[in-house]
Amino acid sequence: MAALILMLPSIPQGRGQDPTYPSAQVLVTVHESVAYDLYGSSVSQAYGSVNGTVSSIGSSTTFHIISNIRPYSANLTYVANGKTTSEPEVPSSVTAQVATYPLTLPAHTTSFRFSISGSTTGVELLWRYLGSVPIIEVTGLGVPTNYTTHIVIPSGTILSQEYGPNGLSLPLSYKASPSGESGYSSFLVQPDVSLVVLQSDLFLPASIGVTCVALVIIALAALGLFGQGRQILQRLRRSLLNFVSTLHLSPLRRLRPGFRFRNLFQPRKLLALFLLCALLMASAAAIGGPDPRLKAYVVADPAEATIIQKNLQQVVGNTPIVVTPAQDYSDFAVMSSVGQFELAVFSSYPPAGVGEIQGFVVGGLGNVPVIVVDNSTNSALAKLIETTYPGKFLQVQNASALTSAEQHELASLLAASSRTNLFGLNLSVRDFNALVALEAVLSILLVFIGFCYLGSLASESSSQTDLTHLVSVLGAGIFVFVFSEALYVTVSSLLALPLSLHAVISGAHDLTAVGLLGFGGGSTPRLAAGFLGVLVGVVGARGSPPIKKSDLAFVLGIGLLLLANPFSIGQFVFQGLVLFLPLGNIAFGAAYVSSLSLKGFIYGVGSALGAGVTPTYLMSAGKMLFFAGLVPLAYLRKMGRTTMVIALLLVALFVGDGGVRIGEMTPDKTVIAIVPGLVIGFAFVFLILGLASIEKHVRGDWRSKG
Amino acid sequence: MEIQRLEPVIRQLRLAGVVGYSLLVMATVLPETMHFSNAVVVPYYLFIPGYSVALLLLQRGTVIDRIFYSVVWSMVIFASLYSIETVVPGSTVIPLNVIIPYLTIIVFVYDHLQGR
Repeated sequence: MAALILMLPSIPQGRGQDPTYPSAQVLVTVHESVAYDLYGSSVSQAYGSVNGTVSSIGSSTTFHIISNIRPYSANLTYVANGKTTSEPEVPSSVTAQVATYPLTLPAHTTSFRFSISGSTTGVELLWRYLGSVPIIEVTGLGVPTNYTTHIVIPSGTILSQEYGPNGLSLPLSYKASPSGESGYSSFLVQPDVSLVVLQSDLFLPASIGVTCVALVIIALAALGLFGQGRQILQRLRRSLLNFVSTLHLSPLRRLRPGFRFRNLFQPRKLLALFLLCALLMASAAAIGGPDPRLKAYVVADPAEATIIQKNLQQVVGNTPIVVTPAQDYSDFAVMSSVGQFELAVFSSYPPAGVGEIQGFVVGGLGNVPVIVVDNSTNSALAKLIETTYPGKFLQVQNASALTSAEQHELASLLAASSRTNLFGLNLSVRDFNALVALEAVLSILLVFIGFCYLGSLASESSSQTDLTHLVSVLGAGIFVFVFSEALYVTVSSLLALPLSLHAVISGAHDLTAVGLLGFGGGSTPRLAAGFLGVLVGVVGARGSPPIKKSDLAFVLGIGLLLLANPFSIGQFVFQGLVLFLPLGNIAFGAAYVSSLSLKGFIYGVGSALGAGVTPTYLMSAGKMLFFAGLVPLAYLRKMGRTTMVIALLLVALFVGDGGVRIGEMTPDKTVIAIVPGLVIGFAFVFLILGLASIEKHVRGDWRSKG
Repeated sequence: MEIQRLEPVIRQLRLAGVVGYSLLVMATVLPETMHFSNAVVVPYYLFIPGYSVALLLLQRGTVIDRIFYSVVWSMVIFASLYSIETVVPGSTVIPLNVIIPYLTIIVFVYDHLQGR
């Protein structure tokens, strides 16, 4: 998607409308299936067409149309030598984000029409609707192109915001156009709009109403008029406790006399649980791995990949798992380095995508025991693979139709490189999947316990000096991250299946262990586990600084109020929230731009301290963010009450978000991220201590009590 | 007792030394000082800016604490300002050799006036 957006050219000016000149008219219409809900997604109908006048073509011409409309059907009609010809189904190569249609017009073509119908997705969040606007791009035709985009939305809906490529905010510039459908309105928008935010026309008055009610509540609270309300709540609480005490839970208590759940939240016990979880994961992986199925990475058109899979089935006797670039190619280095693939197959692939695939895949082929290349592979790519990996290279005529000799040779090569279970066990696919599901759950639990340990260590009261406390928290944080990542690598290698991946598309089931649970690469559950782990660890630790409910309610209330705000500040907070939610890489607006600035600052500090000097030690903003979060975590006890709550939420978010990168399994990046990350953390501390200083002056006391 | 009497004098000397050293580092941006050895500037960036922040923030602490925080804050100040220069267009107009000593003097003087 990003690549597509980057390719979108500026709109050509001038004579595109004149049919006597060679030109192309691109028309996109999206029929947004708007729904307003707390959270959800919906599919909208999208239609696109390219009408071209190409009177100057004297010989056959090939060009490409690229679109992010998920196609139901695509057809081409052209007029050549006065004769109209139709192709009802135009073949395409579909990747995760875009479909590419190679089109060939014969000599003496005067005009053509390409039509596509399909779908695009939208997201409902907090009673707003984020609708993506499809893009159609024509490349290689060499004629001026005009773009027109219509959005059809139900009446009673307001087109609230428009965003262009790279999430940049665009001024609202739509014009009403006739929709021809009762109950719907149609708008003509700028062709570079790629995302629109829609909301009900009730949204504005409702949010103003919510804001007013909240302000009244704050005013009443300030006047101390809630005393009676608190008494009622206390009476209710007492009644509830009395009711619970009448339940016969005493037998359970007798089972473990003296057991208190809160007693678990001691750093020593959490560290022991963390290590126990790690040992369990490694043991289970050693007993059950590697994956009994053959896994092949197939660089070919998706349609051909299915045929190749059937051919491979004849070679190995069971259905192999085939992964294609459409599922993931940027993580190929990690996938191959944990031994996920026993075989890589190269066949015909759309020329436009070969360069990018080559950049990500060829370097990692050293981790794949057997590489099959057929005659339809891009010749330069085939030559590069042959010269780089001569010992693994197997040339075949056609990977979709292997001859018996080729099948025999491939079978013997695979047999020579196959991995076996350490204990000689042969798990069925079903049993292996159960084991993988267990590992996936434990991998998320590991993050939760590890981060819980950090939170409890940072907040428990101790007699350590400030410096010793700081060093122990930083040391523990580095240990938890590095150890967790090392364990992820170990377990993934034993299973021959990555526990998780960083850039995998959401919803992929075959690529990772957490994918089996429906989490794709697993970023979202790791973020949630890390965030909650820090919060629970800090709040649950014995002798932790008191986080008053009123402070927490105050901070969260302010956040919710800002979120409900219908104006720019509310939009900013909404955009910030979207950044951390699993909405399929939707990022836009001023909050997104701010996050890029923060990322730029992090990269700047990284480059000042030696990160990214060579491709080996690449920078990871996420990993640096994790280590940065450790520093304010160590200073939590030094802050005032309200500042502590704000800092805690921020730290939990930073550490949780950075902790997602444990699943990236790139230890080199971790090594280079530690020092810059800690330095950035001190910069954060400086800002947070400034906020604490303001609170000190407002409240008149410096430290939190306790 | 004797040391307590000397403390104001030590603080005055410390302020004078840091301001003088900062001005010297600022002067290195002038073409006339090109022949100055970098050995003048490097120890400054390793310690002095962070020392000023450590004095401001540390209400108590051992000598090791002060040394640790001085080095850490120096690194933070240098890396942060360097990073901001890479992010904000046009900010390189004022060189770091001017910004950092300037900020250091401000923090030091503020701390001195606070009477810590």
